[in-house]
Amino acid sequence: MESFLPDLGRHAGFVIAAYVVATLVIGGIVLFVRADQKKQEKDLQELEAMGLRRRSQKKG
Amino acid sequence: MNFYDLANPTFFLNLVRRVLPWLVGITLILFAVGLYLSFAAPQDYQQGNTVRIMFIHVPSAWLGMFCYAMMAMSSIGSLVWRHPLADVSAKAAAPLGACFTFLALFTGAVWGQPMWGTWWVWDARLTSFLVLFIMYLGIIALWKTMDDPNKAARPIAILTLVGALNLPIIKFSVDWWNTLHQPASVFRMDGPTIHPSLLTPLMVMALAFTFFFIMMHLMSMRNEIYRRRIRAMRMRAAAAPSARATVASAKNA
Repeated sequence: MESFLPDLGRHAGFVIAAYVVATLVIGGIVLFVRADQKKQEKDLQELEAMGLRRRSQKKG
Repeated sequence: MNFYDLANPTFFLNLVRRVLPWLVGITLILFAVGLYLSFAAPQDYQQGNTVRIMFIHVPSAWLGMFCYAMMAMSSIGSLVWRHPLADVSAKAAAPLGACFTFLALFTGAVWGQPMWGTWWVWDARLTSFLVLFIMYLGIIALWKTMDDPNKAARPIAILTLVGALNLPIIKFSVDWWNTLHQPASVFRMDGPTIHPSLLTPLMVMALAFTFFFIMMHLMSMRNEIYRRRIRAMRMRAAAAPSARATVASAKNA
């Protein structure tokens, strides 16, 4: 089967480095934001489990 | 829905919940198509295969600048209208902008080495872009330094607006000074100078990056709203003795 990637020639290392680092940065952003979301949701649930409510939820 | 509805964080969170699955789908499709086109595109007659670096370098650079422009507009919203989500937006965007700016600098270096024979030169475009990266880092550091986000918002908004002066310098640096970096080749009065076979993948990748940024920005804003709610709840608990006792007993249990 023919490879999807074309022959990148003598500068292949530079092209691959650029795409690998871009993948790492984009993947890193996704992982960081998702981990932060999980932490905030967990903390919020813990506080609500303790009976704490936001001011706007007082009557709820 | 209007501008004032968006000022309500609960309304905003519901909106994010509805919009996010669509954004994820569109972003994934755009990246898949963009990456396919990037590697299916022909080589440049001068730059050979290194032209494929352009498909991530240019969108990263655009996003690095777009993100700062958005932070500047959010800062105006924060200073002038005291919009409750304006500084949330500015704070959430800063780390994303720093990542895109870093990516533009890195991919620029690995493109510059084979084409220019150097990783870096202190020309106006590269230097002003490095200043943008340093501005992002400074703003992130300031947000982390101040405990109260409401008090931090105002000075950081002013600093962000001062830093926005760098944006036209970046944009026009290649026209105002002699730079190793090439002048604009896409957004020009007389149209793009790039062949459509290379312009198409570039525009698809730019769209993919833009949708990715919007998606991550909304998610980061949601996290920031949660963080502020948690902070407010903890402060109220600390201020109210009965609630403090509830927290203490729950912690001991």
